[in-house]
Amino acid sequence: MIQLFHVYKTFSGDQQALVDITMEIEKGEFVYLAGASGAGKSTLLKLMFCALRPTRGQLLVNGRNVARLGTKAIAYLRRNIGVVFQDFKLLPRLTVEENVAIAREITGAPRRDIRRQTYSILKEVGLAHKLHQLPPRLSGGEQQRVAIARALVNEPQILLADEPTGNLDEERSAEIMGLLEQANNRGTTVVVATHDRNLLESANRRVITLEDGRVAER
Amino acid sequence: MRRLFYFAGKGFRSVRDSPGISLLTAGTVGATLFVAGLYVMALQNLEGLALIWGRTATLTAYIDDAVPPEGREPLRARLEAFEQVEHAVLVSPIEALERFKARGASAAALVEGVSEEILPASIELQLEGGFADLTAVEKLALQTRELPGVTDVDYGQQELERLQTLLDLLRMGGLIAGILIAIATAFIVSNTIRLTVYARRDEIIILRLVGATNGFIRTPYLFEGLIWGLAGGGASALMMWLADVSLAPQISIAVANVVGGLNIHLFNLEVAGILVVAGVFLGVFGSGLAVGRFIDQETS
Repeated sequence: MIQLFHVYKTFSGDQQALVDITMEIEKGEFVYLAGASGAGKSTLLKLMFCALRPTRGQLLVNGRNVARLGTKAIAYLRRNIGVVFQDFKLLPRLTVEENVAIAREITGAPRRDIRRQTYSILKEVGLAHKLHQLPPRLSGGEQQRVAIARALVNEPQILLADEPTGNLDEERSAEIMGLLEQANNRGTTVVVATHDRNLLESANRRVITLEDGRVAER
Repeated sequence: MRRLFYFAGKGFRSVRDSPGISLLTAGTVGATLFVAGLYVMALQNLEGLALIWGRTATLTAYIDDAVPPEGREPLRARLEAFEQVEHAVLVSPIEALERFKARGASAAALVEGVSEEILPASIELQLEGGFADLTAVEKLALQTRELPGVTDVDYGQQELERLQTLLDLLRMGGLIAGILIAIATAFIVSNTIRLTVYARRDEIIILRLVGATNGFIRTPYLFEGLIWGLAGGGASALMMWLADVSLAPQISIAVANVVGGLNIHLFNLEVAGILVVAGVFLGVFGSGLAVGRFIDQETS
């Protein structure tokens, strides 16, 4: 599903964020990217959803070499990749329903379908009763569930999560991880970047550890 | 069609949600187009002035003193036979002197006691369509001058040429000013819209994140620009109409002493239509430019 061959990412000032990364994530797999802050986890995720391009090396997502994709092709590829962030990235002036629906609207789906699918996914994450609430009025855990609903509403093949429990307490973290597990059980490939040791220890999943931009352990 | 309604809806919603920015942008478009509109109307009024001047002007052919009085009428008939000439009137030296005296006491005093035939006889030509076509008038003047018995021809050529040059300069100036105003307005509008785009950068970033194409991100902003442009263009047309109703009659009265019969107009439907279309163009272009720049920055 995701393949990296000798991938390097260098930022301006010769700062090497990723060095010679080679890895493969299978379809339907649940993988943790572990490592301290600055190890390169977020950069790696950004490469996977094409927010950044590799400086060197090959990155294939769903069999497509992202380095050769144009702007439009990247947009279409992203509809197959759900992304969840630590800071939720919700639009505060839009309601919960609108925040989730935005991901469906871009596909040009009929309005009725959008409403039905949005309601369905919000019900799944336990927020069907908060459709018309604005994000700032929700708790951190609820906001993250809205973000997960938005990431999953298009039924993507890949779900990437960058420190999804970073701002949450233990109980809320467990809820969020439960939702990601559910998505994985339905066949979605899930990649979670985290530095939370408890999370890594409690989950019996493959862990790829990054250290100074290199794969230290897999 | 469904998508079009979706984008239009988003555009309207953005305008509704940002009344301050919307007013600022539409106001900028409106004020700039109002100035441009006033310039165009000033030009049109000057052209009207030239037309009135041309219609009232006459071409005067001065007859050689050697031509006997009985020889003047055949010359008048010959000139009246020219295609462009509506009618020709013979002015005898005595009539010319009377007219000169009628100019005022000082003029009368100047010719006191002189011979009644001091001034030459002349033929005044009223032209069909006036002096609208200056080249044709010049050609007629040349033909008239070449006739035996005509010593000179006068049609106020210097004044007309000056007016023509002024109009040409204003037209050229108008074209250059129009282009400069269009560029400046597009720039101002684009920068104003950039504020809106910048205020909604999070939305754009999230849209990109979930897989929106550049076209999907850009189109609602183009609709927004269209609404601002339409409002600004409409407002400028409305201001022109208000100026026409409230100021134009007073200006007409004020200039009546200089040019009688000139009705100043500050509004017409054609110019109003152009202002609205220009507003829409500026709004859409400025908006496209602003969001395009932002998308390019985010993509690079």
